[in-house]
Amino acid sequence: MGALGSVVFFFSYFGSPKFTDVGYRPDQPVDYSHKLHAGELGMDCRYCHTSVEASHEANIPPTQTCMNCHSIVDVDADELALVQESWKTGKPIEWVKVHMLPDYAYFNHAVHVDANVGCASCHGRIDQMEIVEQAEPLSMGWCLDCHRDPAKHIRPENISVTQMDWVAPEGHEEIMNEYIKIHGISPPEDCTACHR
Amino acid sequence: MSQIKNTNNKTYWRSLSDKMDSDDIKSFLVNEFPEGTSELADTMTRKKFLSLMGASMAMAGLVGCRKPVQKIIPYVDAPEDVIPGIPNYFATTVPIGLNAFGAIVESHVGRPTHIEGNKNHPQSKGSVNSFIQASILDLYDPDRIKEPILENKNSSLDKFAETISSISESSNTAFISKTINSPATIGLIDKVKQKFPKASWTSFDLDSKENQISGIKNIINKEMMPFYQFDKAKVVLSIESDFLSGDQTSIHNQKTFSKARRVKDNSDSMNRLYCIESTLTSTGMMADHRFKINPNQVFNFLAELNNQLIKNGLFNLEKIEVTGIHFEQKYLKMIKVLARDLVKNRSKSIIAAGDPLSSEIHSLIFLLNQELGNNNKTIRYASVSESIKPELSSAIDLVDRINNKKVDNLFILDLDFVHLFSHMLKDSISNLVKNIYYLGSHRDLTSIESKWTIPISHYLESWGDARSVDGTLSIVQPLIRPLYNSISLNEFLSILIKEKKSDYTILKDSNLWKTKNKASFRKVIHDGFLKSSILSNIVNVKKVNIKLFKNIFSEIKRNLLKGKSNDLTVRFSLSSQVYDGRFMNNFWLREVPDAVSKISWENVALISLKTAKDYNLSNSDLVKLSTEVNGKSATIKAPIWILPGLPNNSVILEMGYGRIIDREVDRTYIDEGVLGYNALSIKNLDSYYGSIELLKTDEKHPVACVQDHHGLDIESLAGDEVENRLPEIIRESTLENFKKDDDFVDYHDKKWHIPKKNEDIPSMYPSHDYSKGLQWGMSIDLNVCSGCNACAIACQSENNIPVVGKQQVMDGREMSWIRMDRYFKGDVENPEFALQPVGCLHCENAPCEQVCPVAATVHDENGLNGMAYNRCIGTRYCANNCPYKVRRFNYYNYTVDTPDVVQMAANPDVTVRFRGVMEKCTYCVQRIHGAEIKAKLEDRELIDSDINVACQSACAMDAIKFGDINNPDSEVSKAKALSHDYSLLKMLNTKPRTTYLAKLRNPHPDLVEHEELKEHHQGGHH
Repeated sequence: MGALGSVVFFFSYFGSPKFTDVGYRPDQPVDYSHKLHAGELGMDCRYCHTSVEASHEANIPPTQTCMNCHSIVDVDADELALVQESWKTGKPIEWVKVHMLPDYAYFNHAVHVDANVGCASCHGRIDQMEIVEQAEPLSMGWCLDCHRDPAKHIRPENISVTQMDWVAPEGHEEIMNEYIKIHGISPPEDCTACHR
Repeated sequence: MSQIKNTNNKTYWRSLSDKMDSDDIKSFLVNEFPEGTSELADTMTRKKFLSLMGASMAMAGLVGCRKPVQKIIPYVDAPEDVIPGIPNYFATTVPIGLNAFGAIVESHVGRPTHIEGNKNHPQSKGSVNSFIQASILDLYDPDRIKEPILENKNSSLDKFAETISSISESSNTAFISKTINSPATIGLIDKVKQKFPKASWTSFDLDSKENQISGIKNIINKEMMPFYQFDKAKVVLSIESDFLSGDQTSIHNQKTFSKARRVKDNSDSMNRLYCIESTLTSTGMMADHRFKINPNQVFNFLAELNNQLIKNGLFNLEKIEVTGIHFEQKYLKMIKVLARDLVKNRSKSIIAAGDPLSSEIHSLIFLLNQELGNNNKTIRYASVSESIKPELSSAIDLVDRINNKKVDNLFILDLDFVHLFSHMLKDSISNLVKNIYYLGSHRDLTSIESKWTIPISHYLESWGDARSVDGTLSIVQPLIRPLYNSISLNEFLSILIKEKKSDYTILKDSNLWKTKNKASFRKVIHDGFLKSSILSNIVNVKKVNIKLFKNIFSEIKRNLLKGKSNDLTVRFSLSSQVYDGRFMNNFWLREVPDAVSKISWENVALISLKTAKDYNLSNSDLVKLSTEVNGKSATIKAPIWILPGLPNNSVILEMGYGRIIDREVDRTYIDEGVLGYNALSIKNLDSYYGSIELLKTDEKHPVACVQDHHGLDIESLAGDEVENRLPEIIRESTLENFKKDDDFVDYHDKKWHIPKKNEDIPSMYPSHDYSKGLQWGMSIDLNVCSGCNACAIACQSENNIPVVGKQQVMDGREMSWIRMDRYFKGDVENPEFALQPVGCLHCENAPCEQVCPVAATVHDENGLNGMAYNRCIGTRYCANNCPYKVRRFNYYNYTVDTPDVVQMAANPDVTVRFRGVMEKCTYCVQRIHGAEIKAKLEDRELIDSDINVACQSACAMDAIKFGDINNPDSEVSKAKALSHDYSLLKMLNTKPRTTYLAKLRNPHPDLVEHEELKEHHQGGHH
């Protein structure tokens, strides 16, 4: 029995996204630092990820967005060579996808932002990451944990979703449970909500 | 009660093999997937499979540890209006023949994926037909020519321009094109004609409308086409006219026809459709009285009708003496009643004649319509004088000149000349004409024989304009830059006149648009058409004095059939799949079963059961068909298919097929050799009819016919039970009986002692509460469904449904989510028809869900029967347990070798399914959730009119309603509240969300009297 138990544990832990996916940190073609931009400089996430409020996709910014500043700032920095080249040649930068959902799962950023779920809830403290890594398992079970009990992750109306260092104060859940009732926030738990 | 039952007492049957009780169909009915379908290909034994799987598992273990890297490639300089993940919609125009249809095209980050009708455009009114819907796949056709070709080698446009400039103006030059209704193109052609003053210009189309136009021209001396207002007509007579699906104005026809056909309650009226045809069409299947006729009897029919109309008071008409009787008593009676009905409904009737008929018949029809007061009322006339129309005489003249080597330079503009005319040519065309310049899309026979082939841009890649039949001027707007080094027709012509302008500049500088200021031109592009031009071609025709046209009546008389003819006749028809051959490489259209024959991928020679008996033929027999064409004897080989309802002693051949295209890309499941036969090789250019000789061969040619697939009939029903069951599936009545008893659909449920309300049906399962929130449901009106397949193609485009190829279709593995069931009723020789589109019905009490071992198919809160593909392990229990047989299983990985460019046609909001996964209609769940999220973001409640499912918006008959069944004011609730709404197989207590409105027929009381009496007499026995 013990042996069977350890086999079951082995697969359910080491095979789960918690183990295989969390901490995935691929190298990116450009040494872009979220820690610098979002953390130290305090830029809002939405300066670059413009479509997050409108679309299911939180877009990776076009080279043009980088150039808004870097045509003036740090123009000759080595780290920016690829960006400058992309701007000159018109050849896009090929970023490596970090947060990968399976093709049969249809996640929608806009509706989560609309419900005031903080970016950090799923992406972790991006503002502290030199290189972005996956902070949460993004597995179906993990999604459902929140869909079944969203109060923890929904922020009050006066707190921006992009405020990375926000910590839920004491009693937050009780207040938000009330808020959820009043505003009729009902995250779907149906298969069809994400699988089409 | 007996009277209600009597409305249905003619027996129903599914197909001839059903009627004859053959073993084929039993295998389809007992197993959902017939013998052998469920097994893998026979070369794969279980042992081999296991050993292969073992090996691949071992290897998978080695490579499975590394996470695949995915790249995100953003824009460099993002366009202003594009938000990744949110589609943009652009208006454009689809020109087909003399008409042009406004379309709204969905574009995902610059990639067009789905076409819908433009609601404001008068020729599409928000809907599409199957050709328009599928045309997007042509854009992504991997077999398109990609570079200009000079004598089998890739070349360049510059070099082509150089060659062209050296053509001397005095050389023997000829041009041939299709119908052209673009003012900008016509402007360019005028310039080309100036540049080559000695050149001839020919236009040719199989679907030409030439007879119709010249028939009317003979009377009023103007080039006109009838533009029917079916919504204003109470009685419609169609003679060889497939106005509901074959006609170029079919969408307008369907929209107006369905208005007069739809019945809401027993105070409603309904039009009556008589149909005379020598083939079987969608229009014929819709008819209340359909009379099959031999092609050579049309003149006799018209003479009899004409004479009867005179008897009923249209004294201006000239009597046509008919000697001998050619019609049975039944037919003659029908003509009598028909004439009476037409005259009774003066100025509220329509006589529509099809293009196959000769021009004098069209002249006569014009006069009959005039005398019936229909002209300018139910039939308006549209001037088509501004278009370049096909002219057969000039095409024949061109072929003559080619045969006599009198053409040195031949410009072939976007038509497969060799496919169309090979039987008329003395030699291969490259031996007859020195220089052939071909603007075309594929490496077809014409291209191979041409010196130069220039790839043509798809309409979604080019700028242009087009004039619809009614006069609406529309803009063809590109959705994407040309994928290959192709040019549009306008650019090609512009090279000829050494202007070399881009198609946008050509459009902008054309006479029609150059006077428009920037703002108003932008508005036209945005709308897709010029509002002020709607109906601008419609003119009132003057009444003519019939006495001046005596010659027409004598012409009809001259053509009357004298004596009995035993010749085997042939009737050519246009294909509902490949049209005139231009959609030959469009696999959506190839695979969707033909609306009439239910055969996919190929054409067959259709004959009636009696003809088959006479010639000792059975289905799939290969026959030799020969006739004399152009002074030579010509023969083709075609497989026989028996279709009930066809005239005897006649063969129906579909044109368009047999077009050979050099396929660049091989696809595992699509057999390159499946081409059908080229019926044109035995067709005389000037007629849709002819006589033919038939010779049986010993060969068989298997045919993929889906008529018997996925039968709803419950298995192993003994003897008559199937007959008893079919009337429950298709419930129908006549308008007259409906007025007396609008609850007739309940009769069948009462027989099973099923309560009317779903809630009252006892069930072993606890019922779920669906009384709150939005609850999706659908209603399909069988009364107006014409079986045109537009919904099936729309579904395929929206939901990434794979194409499986002929062999897989023959095995019953077609994937289409909407199955167009067709039932026959009554006599094999003269059956009535009923059509029923069936997709997943989203049962509240779904039998599929109860047997899924992994809960891959479960309900959501809004009543959708969902499919989580990633959960499905492919047991197929659900399909077995589905009483409606709507689930489709991916036996293979059908998308395994879908070329990259074809993948661009896929909808990014829908999963592409893998091998071993079950799939079915989802009510377009991606659209529902898209609309739901949009409403949330806009802080408002979702209303059901936010959502149009793909089949619903495609349907030009407006037969499909979709929406919230909890909202009593929604369209779908209103439809479901009608008394003739019924559920399929209600006794199974599945509580389907899709329900049907029963079919009603509106036969003339005088023509059913006899039957009714007989029925009444028999009624007592039941």
